[in-house]
Amino acid sequence: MAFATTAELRTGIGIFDAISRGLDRLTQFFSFFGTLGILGIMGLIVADVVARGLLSRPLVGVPEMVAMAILGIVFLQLANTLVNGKLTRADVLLDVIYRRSIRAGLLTDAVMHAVGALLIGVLTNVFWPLFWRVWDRNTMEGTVGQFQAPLWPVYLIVLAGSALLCAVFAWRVLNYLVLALRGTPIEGASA
Amino acid sequence: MTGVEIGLLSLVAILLLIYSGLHVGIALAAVSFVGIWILRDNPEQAARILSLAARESISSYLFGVVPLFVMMGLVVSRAGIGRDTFEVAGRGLRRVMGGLGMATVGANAIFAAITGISIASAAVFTKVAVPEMTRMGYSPRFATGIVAGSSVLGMLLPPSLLMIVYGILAEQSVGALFIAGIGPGILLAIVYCIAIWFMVRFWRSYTGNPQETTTTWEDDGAGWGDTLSKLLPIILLIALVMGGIYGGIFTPTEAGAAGAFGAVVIAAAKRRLNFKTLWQVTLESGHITASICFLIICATMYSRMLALSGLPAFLTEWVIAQDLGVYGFLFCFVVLLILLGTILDASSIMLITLPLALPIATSLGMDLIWLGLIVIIAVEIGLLTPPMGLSVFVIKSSLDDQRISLNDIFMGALPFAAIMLLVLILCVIFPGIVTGLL
Repeated sequence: MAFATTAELRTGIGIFDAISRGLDRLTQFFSFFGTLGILGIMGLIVADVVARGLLSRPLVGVPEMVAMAILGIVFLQLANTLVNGKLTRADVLLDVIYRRSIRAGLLTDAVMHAVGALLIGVLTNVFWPLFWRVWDRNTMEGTVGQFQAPLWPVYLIVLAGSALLCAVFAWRVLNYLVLALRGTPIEGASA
Repeated sequence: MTGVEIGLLSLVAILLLIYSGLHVGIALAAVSFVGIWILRDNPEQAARILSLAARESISSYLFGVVPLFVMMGLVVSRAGIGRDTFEVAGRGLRRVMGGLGMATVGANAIFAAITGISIASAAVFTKVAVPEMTRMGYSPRFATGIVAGSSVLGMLLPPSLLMIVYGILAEQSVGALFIAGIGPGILLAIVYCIAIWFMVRFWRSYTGNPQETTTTWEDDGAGWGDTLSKLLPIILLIALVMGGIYGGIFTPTEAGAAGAFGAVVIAAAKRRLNFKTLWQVTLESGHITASICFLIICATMYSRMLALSGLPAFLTEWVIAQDLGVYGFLFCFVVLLILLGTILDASSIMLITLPLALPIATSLGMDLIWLGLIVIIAVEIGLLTPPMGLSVFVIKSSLDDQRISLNDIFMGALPFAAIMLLVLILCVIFPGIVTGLL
């Protein structure tokens, strides 16, 4: 079996699992807006096509809005993607390790997620001053006189999304370590 | 250490880390971070370069195509359009030797013209076509092999997620890549059908004993009306998306939005989509989008690190000095791609190799659209080969029949992987197959 989703990683320790579930919920909250964003850009582009084709009056600023939205959508969805075990990785070797010894597999996974936590931590750390710069200067995206939108909301999403991704990676490290210490997975944990 | 040495080391490190199970994006980004740190002797600058890549690489209108085409494909799978197409094709071909196999290929080709991911095709047709074929006497090996082989069409016939990724990395028009995929896709489907006929005729030990021709079919009363109602939606969608791009009415992003919207309307009209399933499908598209875009972000970091190391320029000079010529280079590159395909997934391979291969190809004066299709076919062969054959894994997990082992499916897919290689060679020798429609 795989050890990737929150349900599969249940430790059986009440408080610990409650925090895992809370984190899981938080990623779902972010992902809700990401999903809404996809439906949003679909509607926006279709509206633009219709307005241009039938009324010969294209909507203003659609390319700029889609460009910003896509960055937001990705960072809103990333943490939830990891929580669901859908962030791309090759598990050929990992599977072999798990089959030999579950504990060795869990420890390997802990190390892997620690690397992720460190790296995303570094990135989040750089996003922080960048956000404040855009906020203070109130930087705008688009062309003057045609369409302009403030850049800070997207930067805020990137900052918050990567902070959450970092938190999930870090919490997973603890989670794998706890499971490795206990030795065996909880009965029915995958259910 | 010189920059080139650091570049080469980073390549080895990335491959090792990915293989040992680190998330692909994290492996690319982490090695890039350390690489730039060493090259510039400055961790803060390294972090800044990475953060720039994170914000600039995907914030563009073009990236709207990723969630939209993924969503269109998922909605269409949910709407049962794959099953409908297979039924119609099966009815048309049921008196031909190997007809059900050909119907699977044909239905996959049509289905592929509206989905951009092979995994979607593999999952749908495992459920729909494998039980039908085994019931008709096909060996499980042959039946799953046909599904695995034809699932590749999903990425080859436009729209295709891999073409979008390639277009972004190589700065080529995604619309042009889509159109270039039509020729090789149709050729592959035709060669598959011919091969199925020959295998059923001459290689019964592998194919089992397909009995389409000896079975008496009772007329199920399904007339032209039924055929039309099952085919019309998919034909309309293909016309909307491909016609829009080919006719220059839509940009790929607009075609994606129109196609996704059209798919939602059709699925709702067929009463196969309600608000809840629409939300699930969109969420799933979001997950795929996030993981693909994260890969692209991290690959951008990696290619910036490579550029700083000077490895691409060095490698280009070196390859030119070897005097391999276009075909020699292609041969080595394709062999490398197929080898990597045995351990990595398709998009990761492109993200790792293209920053190095594209400068070489450019200096050899190669057509980058032509190269793109060759690369895509080569990495797709990897979907069928062990130990990391993504399509085969998907088939195994969507299969209800536990008696068919992973090994059976790999063995079944092998002849089809060989056929892909043949089509790849044809595309190299006759570039017109790829560029003819442009």
